[in-house]
Amino acid sequence: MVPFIHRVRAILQNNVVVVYLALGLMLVVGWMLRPYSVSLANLSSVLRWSSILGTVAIGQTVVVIAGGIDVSVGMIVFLIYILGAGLMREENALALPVLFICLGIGGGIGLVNGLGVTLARIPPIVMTLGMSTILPGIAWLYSGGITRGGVAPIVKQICQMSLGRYIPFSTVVWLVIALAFILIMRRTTLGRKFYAVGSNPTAAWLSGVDVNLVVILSYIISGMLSAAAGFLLLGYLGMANLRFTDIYTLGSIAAVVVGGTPFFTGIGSIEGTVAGTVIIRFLYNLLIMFQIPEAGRMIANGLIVILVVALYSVRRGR
Amino acid sequence: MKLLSRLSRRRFVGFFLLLGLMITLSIELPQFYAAQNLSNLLLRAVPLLCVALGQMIVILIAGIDLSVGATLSLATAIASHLMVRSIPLAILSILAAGMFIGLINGLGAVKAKINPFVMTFGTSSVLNGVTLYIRPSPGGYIPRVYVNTILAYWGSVPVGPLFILCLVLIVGFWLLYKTTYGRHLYAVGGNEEAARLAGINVAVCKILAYIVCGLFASLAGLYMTARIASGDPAVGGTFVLDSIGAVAVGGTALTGGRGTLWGTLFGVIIFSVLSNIFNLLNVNIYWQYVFKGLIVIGVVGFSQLKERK
Repeated sequence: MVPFIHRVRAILQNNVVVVYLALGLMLVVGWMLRPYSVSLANLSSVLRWSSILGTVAIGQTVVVIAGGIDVSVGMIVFLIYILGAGLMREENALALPVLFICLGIGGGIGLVNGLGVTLARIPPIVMTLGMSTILPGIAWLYSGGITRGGVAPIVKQICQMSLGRYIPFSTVVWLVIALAFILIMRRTTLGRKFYAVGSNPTAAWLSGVDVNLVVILSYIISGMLSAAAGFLLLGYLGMANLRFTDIYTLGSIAAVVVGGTPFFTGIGSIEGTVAGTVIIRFLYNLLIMFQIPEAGRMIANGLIVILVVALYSVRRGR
Repeated sequence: MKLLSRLSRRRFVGFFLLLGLMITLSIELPQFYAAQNLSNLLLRAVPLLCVALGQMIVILIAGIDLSVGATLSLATAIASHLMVRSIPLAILSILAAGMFIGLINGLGAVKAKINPFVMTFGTSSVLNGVTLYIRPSPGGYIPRVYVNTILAYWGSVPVGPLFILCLVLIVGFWLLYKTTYGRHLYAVGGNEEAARLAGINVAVCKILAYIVCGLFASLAGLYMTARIASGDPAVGGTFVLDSIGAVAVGGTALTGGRGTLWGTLFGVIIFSVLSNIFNLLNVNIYWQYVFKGLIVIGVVGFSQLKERK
């Protein structure tokens, strides 16, 4: 019989368990500070915003597990947010084609990122940082400084819908995507390849994995999911606005890191990122309740990223 | 043939790009060489050179600093509050702030073993938040005397910026090529383990690199304060990509250990000349964003291809 304490310690070795414990703790702290923060209405709002950030964060997780980083995600969200409204022109008939076009564009951007990182061997940070300079330029050029078009009524209706009052439609979309990627990462050979490439690309290559293809695929996934998030954002807000604060780039990195996926080690999980996303959004929501301005939220976000990464690196170093 | 292969080496790529650009310009855009335009160009190149030099030193040790832009913005924000009271106090506290930021970045990246991308991305967010607290929108007051000293003109020659440019170059040259620390930077970046076995204190060397980078970024902030004569929380935004781009264009290997001061100078001049040309040609600012991204990606990709051969 293994002593109880040892079993607890073994369970705590699992990052995912720790992340979900942290989430639980967070909710308790929230409840103690502001009871309203754990009310169904507020949690529903947290979930709604989590689903947009969370969709981006899933893509970011795949890229990070495969050994890269994508800092263009926020600007993909922005581009699709502007482009989606412009292409849809408030027409229901165009809703579905535009959705596919948007996903295609997101995938295309990811493809370019992936090709730059693999074939041209540009460091991921430089490639995606360059991309994140190009994309808003394109968005502004396309819009010409004013917001064009508009959201189709049916998209607005679907995106603003809630199942059983408290479960936003976007949350369902997010969780379905998350579930799909949990299965892909855990149960398929492709999933294993992402981990293999991230932990040791040479070893992966020697055992017959097409490393470049896997890396490119990870960026395509990230681009497509960012585009999907941009579409969800557009549908929920019901209109495009050129004044866009990018909380998605740092937010997704924070969610990935808090979710127990360290950078450049080829370990981590989508499950962790899901909890990480809710933690980040819940904290954000709490800060808003305490009327902390945007500046304070940026500080909190940055500090959390640094602290959590330091914590994980200390844990690993032990 | 041998000459050709020597000329196509990475450190000459920037030089030839620039040469080609200059020749094309003299034919197509004669107004580029007007005295007024050249002095404009210089005014723009100084802060980028400052930031890029610091960035290069960090990249030499195989790190990267994404917080340079936020440091620069913070510097202008601090200046817009403190300069009214005392100019020397403001300058000292800004430089100290820059070094402190570098120290934190260095400790995080080296001692806590946080990946430098993530570490400096995090500090960048924190610093942007702090800047927004102390200066939510552009404004504040900068004493005339400070602006006039930094941007001193002698006839139509901007002697102030010229002096700063020379000063930065001399300090950079001295630091990289005339001190043991400079040698250590190359040694650590080239082969960390070998450097450690040779008795170099690798951790201190790396942390110092981040401190120097923070110092240069805050110096650029002091210069920008004079140029915009106010504090602006967004002024540093473009410097992150520009500095990495200029360093990469200048032939510094992003994997560390290789790079020259002259290469970085070329990179900075190319970046400044390009944005200057775009302005002369009245290119839409949004197109400029697109081109800049493309140029960075293109040039870094090109130099990496050369690397592989």
